[in-house]
Amino acid sequence: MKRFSIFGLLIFWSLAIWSCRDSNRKLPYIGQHDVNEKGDSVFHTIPDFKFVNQDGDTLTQEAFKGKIYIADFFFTSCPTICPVMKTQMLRIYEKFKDNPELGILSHTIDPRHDSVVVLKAYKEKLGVNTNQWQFVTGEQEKIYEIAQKSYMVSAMEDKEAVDEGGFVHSGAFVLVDKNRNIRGVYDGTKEKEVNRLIKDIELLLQK
Amino acid sequence: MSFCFKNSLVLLCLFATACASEEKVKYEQYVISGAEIYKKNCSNCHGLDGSGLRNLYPPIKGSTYLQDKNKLVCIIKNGLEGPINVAGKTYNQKMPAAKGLYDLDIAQLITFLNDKWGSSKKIVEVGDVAGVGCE
Repeated sequence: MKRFSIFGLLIFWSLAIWSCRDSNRKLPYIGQHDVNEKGDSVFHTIPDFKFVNQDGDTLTQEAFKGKIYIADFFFTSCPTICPVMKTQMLRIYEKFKDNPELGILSHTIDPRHDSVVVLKAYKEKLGVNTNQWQFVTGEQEKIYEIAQKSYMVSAMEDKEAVDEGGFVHSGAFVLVDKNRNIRGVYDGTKEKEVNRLIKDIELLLQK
Repeated sequence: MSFCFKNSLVLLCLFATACASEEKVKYEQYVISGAEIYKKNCSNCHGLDGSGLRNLYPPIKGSTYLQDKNKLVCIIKNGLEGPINVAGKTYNQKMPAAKGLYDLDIAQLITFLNDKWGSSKKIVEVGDVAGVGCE
């Protein structure tokens, strides 16, 4: 009888471990779900965009075709959370360096100050020397619009927020899959959240 | 360990703290408060470990700026702009003025910086901060 129960426990354990295996985990689709005329689910999708990167080149969604990417919003003169976000993003960058299936897209929310030249210097000083991580600027309105409506993170100018450098924005890292659907939103200022993001990236890359 | 022995150990500890000089206790308090102030106001850029961030934000650890208390007070009070050289590297990122800090906060902060990454283990008094004339 005793042997039987140990056996049962073993089966239970293996089942439990098997079901918890990371590769069986599925990432959610974030945002509004619609149904098209065929009755299929249509997930919230990042629309086409057009910005200018640190080299002065036009950067569109084409740059991330066939890749998953992480998007965030920051500004170079930000004294509060941005340095922490960049420290964490560097972890991701180093971890997936040279992986052609992963991109990083950092938008400035202060395009008046963060010109192409400023972004280029910032990128260099961070020690980022590949195209895998793009820094973009553009029309302020367009950046705020894509942040709020598409990536669903807050980003706005607020002259009252003197201590924050004049802008209010979230420290979110948004994980976008190859179909431009959002699969996760993480607090880019927290190491633990970024550990979770790294696991989720690995999961998405397997598929 | 006998009950008696344990008790005498506790007593011994109590005596030890009581005997620690008032100055030393004050120094420890400054270091602890300074660490909190550093975490809240400085560590985002300069890092919790004081090593800065790549070529963007300079390290505190090993910086000669720690040796000039007056200059340090003014940098904390007024912020800093323009290129600077720290430990052989050039940095050029604007540092904002720490407007929310009182002289006591700055005294505690600098005491902590020196204790952790500098060479001096001497307390920085409020008067040392208040007496500095910055432009």
